[in-house]
Amino acid sequence: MAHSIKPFKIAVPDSEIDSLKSKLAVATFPKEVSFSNSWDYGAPLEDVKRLANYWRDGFDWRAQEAKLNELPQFTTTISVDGFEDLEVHFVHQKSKRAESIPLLFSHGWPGSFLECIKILPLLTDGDSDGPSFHLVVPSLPNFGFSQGSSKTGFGLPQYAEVLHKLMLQLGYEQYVTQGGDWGHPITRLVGAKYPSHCLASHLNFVRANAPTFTKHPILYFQSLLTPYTEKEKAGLARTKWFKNEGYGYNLEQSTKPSTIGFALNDSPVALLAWIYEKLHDWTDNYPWTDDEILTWISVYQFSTAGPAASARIYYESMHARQQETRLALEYNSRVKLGLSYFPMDLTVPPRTHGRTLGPVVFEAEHEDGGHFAAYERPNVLAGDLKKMFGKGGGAYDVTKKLCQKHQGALV
Amino acid sequence: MSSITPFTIAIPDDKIKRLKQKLVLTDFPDELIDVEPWSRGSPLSDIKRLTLYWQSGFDWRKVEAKLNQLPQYIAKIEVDGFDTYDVHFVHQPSTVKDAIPLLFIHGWPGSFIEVTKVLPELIKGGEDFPAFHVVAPSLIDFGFSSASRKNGFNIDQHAETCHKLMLALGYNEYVVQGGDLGYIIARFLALNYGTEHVKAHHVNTVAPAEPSATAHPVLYAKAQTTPLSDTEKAGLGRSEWFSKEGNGYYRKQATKPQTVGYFMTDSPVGLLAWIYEKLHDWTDHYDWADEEILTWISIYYFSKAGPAATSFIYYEIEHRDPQVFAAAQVYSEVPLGISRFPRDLILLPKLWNHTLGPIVYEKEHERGGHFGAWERPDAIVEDLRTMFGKHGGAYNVVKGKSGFL
Repeated sequence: MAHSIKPFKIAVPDSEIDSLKSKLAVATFPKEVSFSNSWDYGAPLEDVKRLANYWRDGFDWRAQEAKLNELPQFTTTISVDGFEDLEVHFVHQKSKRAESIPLLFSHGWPGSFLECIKILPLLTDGDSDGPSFHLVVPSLPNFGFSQGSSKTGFGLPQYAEVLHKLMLQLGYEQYVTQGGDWGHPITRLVGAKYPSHCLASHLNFVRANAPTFTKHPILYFQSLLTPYTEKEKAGLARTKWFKNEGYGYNLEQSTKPSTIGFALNDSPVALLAWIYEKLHDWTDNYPWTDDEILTWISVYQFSTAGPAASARIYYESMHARQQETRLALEYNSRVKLGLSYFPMDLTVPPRTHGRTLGPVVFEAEHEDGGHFAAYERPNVLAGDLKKMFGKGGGAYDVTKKLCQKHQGALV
Repeated sequence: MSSITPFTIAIPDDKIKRLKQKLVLTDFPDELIDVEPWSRGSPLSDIKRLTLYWQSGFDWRKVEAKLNQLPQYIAKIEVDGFDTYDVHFVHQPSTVKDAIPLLFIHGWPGSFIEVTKVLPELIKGGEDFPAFHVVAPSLIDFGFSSASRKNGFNIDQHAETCHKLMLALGYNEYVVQGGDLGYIIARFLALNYGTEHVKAHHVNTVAPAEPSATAHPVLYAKAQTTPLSDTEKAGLGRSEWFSKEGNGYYRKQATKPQTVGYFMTDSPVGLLAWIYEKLHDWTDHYDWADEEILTWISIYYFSKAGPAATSFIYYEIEHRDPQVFAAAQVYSEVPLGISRFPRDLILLPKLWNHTLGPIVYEKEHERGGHFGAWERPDAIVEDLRTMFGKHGGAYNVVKGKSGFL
């Protein structure tokens, strides 16, 4: 049964924008103390006040919406085993070159589909040298303009199922994936569940366990005998910082998503601070403009499932379908892997750890950049993908395979 | 020298009006249709009911009047390296002249209100059981005490504040009761001001270190050879649950208190859900009345420093060097009494408690949770009366103030 694919344009109702502004008009802020503007303690008071005031008075959502609507967007219905059908929103840009690699790009939290906006022209430009891609960028269920399930237990395997089925519905029987944040475990599970469809995966956020003697003997000895590089030492320090200082949002959302959901749904200022803290902490001195920040956060504020729903993935990841979810950290021999390490990401493991995930055919360690690689370093990430899938690249055989057939998508 | 003035809680009308305005505008999230209640946090139906009641039925003025039946004061206390603060406290001396001065310290998400049920009983006595003069402050950044305003205001400073309060009231020697943050503060009081001033302490939550072969050889040997009781095993299970499923609030408050502060300040329903979850999860099937819940949370919402300030102590605890819990685990000679409740959060093997100091009283209860004085005032009163009674291990610790006639 073929579900139809409908063109989509974001059109947030006026009432929602008015409601947001009304809430912002009666916003109450914490009292100022000596450390109110220190990032150590959270989102600084003067920033949050400035952003809240701008969100209320100056920020033009319609202008941002129009910009986002320049992206070719669609929705389709995806059936999920054991759950209800979901309306899934996605960007789909075919390359000018017909023989291109179908690439599924998965965002995470607090990102969205819009993370592809800079990298899209770089990857789908069929005129330039090197491989080009047909890009598919969904809003994950519970995020952006996709629905979420109303039932418990919608875990990472379900997210993977949705993304895989989306590719099939677009006529891409075989494809590759790119992911960071939740996109990492989700695309890893796509590879684990559908290895004859997902032929290669690239990750810009690497979460991996140390090699063990029983599972990865060669890597294990390598890790014992090879001293860490300066970059790897810095990566371990960054990982430690994240676990010690930056993990609270994760533990709360992983255990009590409903509780924090009340705050995120009721107070735009709460949502703003909760997310803005990460836009700062997780990037490498990215010069966020107020418009950018508020666009990212407005996608949460105006999301189809509501801002509270975005916490649910954390709970399900920790509690649902654990046996299957753990496959994301297991070696998958069938999917070629590309890893790009950015120093200001959240977990930056040593390279021997990353190699426990699968056959690593591409590996890059960058000098700068953080968690949102496609947004912070679009040229670098696009460059990595082109190297990985280009002539002489570790996944070139996949490129040849996928570009031989002319895969006609339904759109 | 500090001055002491009487105090009445008098929240301005416009604050109450503003709260109700915000409550009316509340936007509720949806809820998963098959969610097991409480598994993912505060249930939607409860929060909706409580929000509606807070907005239209709950009468703060009535509650305020009831709270004002407690004799309250403000003392100006100077804290070394910080400021001079207004410290709000309840002070009810007993009619028994030589009653034992007792400092009662609340925790999070509690307040001075937690003394309400035990107070009328504790001031009684003198014949068969000891009487107490009761002092119950609002910690700095909580209730109706000042904001700390400066970073670095840690458990050390909270202990100093409480100690100086007791001195200001003329209680040169006193005993302490505490749970939650009150537990850590009680330990710091014992370590910093005992045995000279702090003569004994009683706690209803406790976090000892595991006995080590080098530091506590006898205890270590005993712990290795003593099997855990059924209740101790259950306690470890409870502790594991808390650390795995119930610790999100701590991790966020202890690392990004300012971020937490935004929703606590701007969203009454956000604050309600955050605290209400704990009022449920941390108690032993306590039958909270809606008015009780909203009174507890209103004290946060209307607090002098604002609700955001109540997270700051968590940041300080987490970042202190040496670490606060480790510092509180250091052995103190000050006599210690422990009441153990099965639905508390951290329940470690009882032998471990002996690493803290001389245990002169210990009682394990069959019912009760984290808020001992609120859920089981009868138990706390009984335990204190026994601990300080004529046959108790802490009898007459404050010389000349045995609590008896």
